[in-house]
Amino acid sequence: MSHAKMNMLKSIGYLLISVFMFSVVTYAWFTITDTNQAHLAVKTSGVEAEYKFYVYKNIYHSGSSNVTLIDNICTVGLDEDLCYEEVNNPITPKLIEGSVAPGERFSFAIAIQSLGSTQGYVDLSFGNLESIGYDLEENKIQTAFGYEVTKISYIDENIETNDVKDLYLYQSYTNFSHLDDVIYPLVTDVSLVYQDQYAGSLIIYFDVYYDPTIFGVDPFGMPYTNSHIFMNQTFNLHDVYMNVTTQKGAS
Amino acid sequence: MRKYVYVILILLMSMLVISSVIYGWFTYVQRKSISTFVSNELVVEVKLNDDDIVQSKTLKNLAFIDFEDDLINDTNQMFNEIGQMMDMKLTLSESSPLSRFIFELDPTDEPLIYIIILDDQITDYHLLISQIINPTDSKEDMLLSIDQYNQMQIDALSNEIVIPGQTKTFKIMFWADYDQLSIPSDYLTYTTDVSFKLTIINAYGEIS
Repeated sequence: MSHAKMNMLKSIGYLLISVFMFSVVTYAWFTITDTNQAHLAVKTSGVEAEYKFYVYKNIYHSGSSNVTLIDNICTVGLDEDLCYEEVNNPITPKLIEGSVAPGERFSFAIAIQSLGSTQGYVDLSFGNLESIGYDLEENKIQTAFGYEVTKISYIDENIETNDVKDLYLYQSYTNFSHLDDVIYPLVTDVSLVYQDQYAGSLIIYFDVYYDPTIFGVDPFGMPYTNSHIFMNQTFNLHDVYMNVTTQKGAS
Repeated sequence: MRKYVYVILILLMSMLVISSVIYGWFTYVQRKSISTFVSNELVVEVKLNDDDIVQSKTLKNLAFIDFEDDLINDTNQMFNEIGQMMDMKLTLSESSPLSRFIFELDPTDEPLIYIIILDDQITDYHLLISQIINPTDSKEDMLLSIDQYNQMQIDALSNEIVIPGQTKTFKIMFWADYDQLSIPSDYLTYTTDVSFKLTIINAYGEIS
């Protein structure tokens, strides 16, 4: 066999190996994302984890006053209220049923379970906001909404820790701006693993709130005195971005 | 040699195809919605005795009662039958947000005695009033007790959150007190207007 043929065979061999490795990486990604039942844009780096997304059901739109997933998850198939419902269908475009009005609050939770023993750090943020039906930029309905992290805890074997959010950088109440392409951080560098309990899950609870003190402005820039300008508008909160890294501040 | 070039080209193309699939998956994930909030206006259908509501209602042919014989003792066992009823029905549309109904009755004529009833199961009005008043009190105190009861009903109605599609009903029973007429013979021609105000606001809103 000539030297050139040998080199050609080696090249084909390397290509086959690279295709195989690429397939393995692709398979791993699908394994992770297949169990991701949240509406999340996920970016992982060296850490494997499962994600579950919950929305709190409350016909009175007053959020969750019992901020825990322990014995507080809706039973599948039953039309229950005042419990966290796991969102299983990632193609469902709308979670909040019915019309909303100022003063109403909506609660969510994201549970992240580490699949390995590698410590990971989670960043969570909102992005890709959209208001429909507004007259002026300043009167976008998204400006009347705010959000806040209400609790960070860990669950292991059906036991939940106390709220540990003060250990981390988290967002207290803040309103969205009228700009659509802003990234709104929820939490930064939250440890995926708590006190070496690798089997446990990290739970991040957050609320989205329709602020009754935001009124918008008239065409001359003068503030209105009520929220009527936001009537008949639609607010789409398109994405929650989750970034899991092996090092703090790596995102 | 050419064969090897073909093999390499096929492998490179297959890698390109796999890359496209993965790119498509990333794009798909990032387009997911987390939630949609729709802010609609309040739409309520209000019926008074099955008619569209008006701002006031003229009461004619009111039954005049003797305060002690009828309201306290119901001597003739007719107190429930002779009262005039105003039946209010409020329906919040399916597209509306959670709401509250704030109902106000303006001050009425002296002879008018009324009681607001939220529980549609209550049909024995004399029994209800006997539970509200203390028969040993003065007449003024008994009327005050009825006023306080009415205000409690109005507050309860105002604080209750109504779910879209839900209908709230309540009734107001009216009688007239013969002793309060300035000219007793007027009882045959007596009419009075009852005006009321209904404000509908979103569940957690305040009247500005």
